[in-house]
Amino acid sequence: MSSGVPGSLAARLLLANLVLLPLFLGGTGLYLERSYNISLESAEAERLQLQVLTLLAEAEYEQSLRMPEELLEARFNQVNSGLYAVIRAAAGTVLWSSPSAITQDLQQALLGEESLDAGASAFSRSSEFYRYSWAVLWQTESTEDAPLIFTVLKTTAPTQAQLSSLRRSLLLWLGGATLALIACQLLVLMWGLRPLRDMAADITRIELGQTDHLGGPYPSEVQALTDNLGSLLEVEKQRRERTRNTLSDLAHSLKTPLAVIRNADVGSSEYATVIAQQADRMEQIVSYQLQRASGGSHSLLRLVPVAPSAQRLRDTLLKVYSDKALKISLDIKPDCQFRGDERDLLELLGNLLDNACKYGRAAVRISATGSGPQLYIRVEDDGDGIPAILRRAIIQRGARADSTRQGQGIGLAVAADIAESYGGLLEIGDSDLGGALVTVAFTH
Amino acid sequence: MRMLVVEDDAHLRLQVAHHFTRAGWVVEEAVDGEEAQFLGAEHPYDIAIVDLGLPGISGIDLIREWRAAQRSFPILILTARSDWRDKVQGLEAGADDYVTKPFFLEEIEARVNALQRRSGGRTQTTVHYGPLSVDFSARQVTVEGGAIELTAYEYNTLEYLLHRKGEVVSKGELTDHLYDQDYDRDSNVIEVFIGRLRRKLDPANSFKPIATVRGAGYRFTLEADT
Repeated sequence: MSSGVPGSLAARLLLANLVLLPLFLGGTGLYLERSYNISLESAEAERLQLQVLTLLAEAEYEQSLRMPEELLEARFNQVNSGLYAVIRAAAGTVLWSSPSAITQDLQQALLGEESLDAGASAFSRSSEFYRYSWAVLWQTESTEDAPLIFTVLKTTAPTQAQLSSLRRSLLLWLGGATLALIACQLLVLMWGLRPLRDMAADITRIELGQTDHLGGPYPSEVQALTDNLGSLLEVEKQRRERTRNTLSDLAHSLKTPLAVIRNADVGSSEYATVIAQQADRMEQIVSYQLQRASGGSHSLLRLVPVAPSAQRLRDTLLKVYSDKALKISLDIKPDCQFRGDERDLLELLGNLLDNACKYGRAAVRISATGSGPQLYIRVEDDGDGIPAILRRAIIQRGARADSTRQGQGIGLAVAADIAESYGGLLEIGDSDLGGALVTVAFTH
Repeated sequence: MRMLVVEDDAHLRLQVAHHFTRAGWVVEEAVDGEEAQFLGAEHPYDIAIVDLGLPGISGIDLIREWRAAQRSFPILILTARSDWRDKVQGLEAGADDYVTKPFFLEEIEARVNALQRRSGGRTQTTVHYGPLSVDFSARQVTVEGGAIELTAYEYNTLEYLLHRKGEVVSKGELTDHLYDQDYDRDSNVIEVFIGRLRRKLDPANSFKPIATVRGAGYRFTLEADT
């Protein structure tokens, strides 16, 4: 496997989940934490605003600011309570601070505040405090209006503790969910990919010779693959059978000419002729069987358009048979395809067309309909045709091997073998052109 | 007529060469694509027989290169098996016909004769030129119905003139097509053959089938009967 990606489907899916699930659930956790934080702060801002309003109600100003000894909010009276109030003049001078802030140096916490116009308020957060400030213009009867800034500070520690607790819960629940989902995924993978493991086991059993076909049924997604594998195994089986048949046919059919030679009279004047005739016969037998053996080495999964091969053969044969002034007509749609090896298609069409050109007088026609698993090819000529009595002999296996003569029928025999190797059927009939009609039907 | 046989199998090459030499052809042989490429480019052949399965330059490449170099002589290919892909590729490359191995020499001869007939623009094996008739298949010449005995060289001279009927053929061109490459081109043997041919074909000097074009060569004057 290239680029370092694991070769196993389960490993790929698992790796994808290991990357995606933490990303997704981590993102969810982050979003929840942020939302909670925002809602906490907005609640805090509201509470501090109320505290400022209470302070405003308690404050009095005549010549100078006066605040009660005991404030309504108990935490302002308690030292280091975490809630502090400061009232400043517009220039920044602290006029009053709550008793809770006696031991606190709040200067640092008050820094960095933008200047506020009268009536404006601002909420901010530093690492230690939430801060709410409200600028007011205090109207007095005796003196000029006094600009004052009321600020309430509240330590962030309690909300930080709440946030930390939320983070721990999120981590626990989302982390747990991630692990649980990955574990579920593993179980789903094991269950979902079981048909593939079953198929591998079936193939192993075929290798070991315990069976000769794939079991099943398989899920629909795998069925196409198992169907093709099944066809491939079937073709392989046919090929083995054909090789066996070819060898046995070869051995059997060579015995006759060998017997003729063995029995020939050495002293006879005919001896040389007999030897030459039988040598020719053996040559034909070997040539025929070689062609049969070479057929059928096809890959099932490719679709080859029929028209280009037919076109090439037509151009070629018009050249070869230019003396005859033949007219070869083609009626094949561009989407008409043969499922198999292009070489086998060329061999099949070549033999059929050559035969038609050889025996036809002036007209040859090739037509094809359907495609792939439903393909019909017709080759016709206007010659004398093939007598009905010979048709079966030409198509029957074995009968051909010994009886084929030079230039007669061998092409049809080879074409029939190629068609058969693809589960097709070659039939001979009469054409309306007047001569032979050869039909090859592939119907899987 | 001059033929090139390109075949790496020595036994087969010699069989073909002997067969056609006996039939009156001037036959040259090449054992591989490189040698054939050189010979085909250098010499004016009337036909070539090419085996497709050659060592080095393949038969198909050889044919392509000849055709690309405007060599237009007919080419007959030999294929090892009845393999249509080879046949189609060979014919697409520029060959004119094919013979499948194993073959009978007579089959090759018939194909060669058919190709010669086609390249000479003839459709019949026997052609009549007024009182003169030539059976190209049997290599037999008759004048007013009576058979004429011609030697192989005389017949070949006549056949080549008929092949280029109506055109002027120089003595050099005749020598190129009738004799192998070692032949002495200054010899006046062509004139001798032409003289003998004229006497055999037209003893009364009445229809004058072969005209001498002074300083240029010879021309066959009769038209084929339609």
